[in-house]
Amino acid sequence: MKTRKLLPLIILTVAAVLALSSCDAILDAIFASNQITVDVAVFGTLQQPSNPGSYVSVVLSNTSGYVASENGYSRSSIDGFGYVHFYVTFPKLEDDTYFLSVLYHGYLGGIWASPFGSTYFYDPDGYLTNNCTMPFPSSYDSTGRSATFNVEIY
Amino acid sequence: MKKLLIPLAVALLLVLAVPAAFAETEWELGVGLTPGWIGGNTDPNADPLLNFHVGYSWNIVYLSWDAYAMPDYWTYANTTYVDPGTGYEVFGYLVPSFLNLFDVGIKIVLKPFIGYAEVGPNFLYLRGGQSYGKVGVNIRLGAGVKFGWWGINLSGTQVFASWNDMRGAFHEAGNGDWSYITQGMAPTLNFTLYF
Repeated sequence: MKTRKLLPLIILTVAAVLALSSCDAILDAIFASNQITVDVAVFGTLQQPSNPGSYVSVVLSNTSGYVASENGYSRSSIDGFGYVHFYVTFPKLEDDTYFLSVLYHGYLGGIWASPFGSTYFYDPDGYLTNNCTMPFPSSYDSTGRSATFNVEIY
Repeated sequence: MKKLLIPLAVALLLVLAVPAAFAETEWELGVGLTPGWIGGNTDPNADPLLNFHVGYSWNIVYLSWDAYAMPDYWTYANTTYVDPGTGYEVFGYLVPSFLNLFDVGIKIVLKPFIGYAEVGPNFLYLRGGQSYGKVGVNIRLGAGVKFGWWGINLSGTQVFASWNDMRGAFHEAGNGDWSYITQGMAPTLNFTLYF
């Protein structure tokens, strides 16, 4: 009779110990996917913050080809270095090597400029590269599941 | 200290005098689901957040530990702060985390209905083995149904950055403004097993 009453408590204790020792594994199982955020910094004189037309288009691809694309309309105000930032996020990515292609579509002085951009970007630790393998451990995220890459357009 | 004596005495009397019909002594294990937008995701199709629950009730005293699995952008938003000394923004941790709520309160059972109210501190476990030093507090209210060994209940959890913030919220509630407690309360649907 005592054993029957203790059994749920034993099960709870074992479950709690297992859970505590595998917190990271549980979190990885729940949030298994990778996320890439692209911070496109455009030099302020290339566009007027008051004009909502300017945007960036970012294409994500891997060795098999196209993966996804997003346009970034959100922007920050001009930072201390004279850049305006556009952000694009690609969530729920599989473990793979990715390439980025960024084009800036500027609307300045009432006309659309020819888009231009870059396929090179800075990784979270500031190194220039043209590809990233997810997960991408860095000093900002030891798991590597979420990485922000920076592109400068000037 | 004197101000606490009367409420403590009342609480003790309640614990000793409440008839068995209104209380249960039991363990609980459960899981809960919270809408994904609570984590800060603006995507209307965001996945719900999962939490794990362990609880124990003795008479009407209720103890619980809930671990909410929070996404990296929530963790980042809640661990980024402005250093009051320098004025610079200190960037947080862009990793998934467990928001652990350790609560104590009361649980009333009027079969098949249950209701509970709790308060307690929060601790953040960051993916990678770190724990975040700044501790917040929370209050939780819940109600539901219980059928013997299983039950379902809906809870609302409000998280505060500090005990002072929570005291302030209750002060405002005392003046008739409950928005500091109820606004932004995270709803969770809980599925519980009782032992």
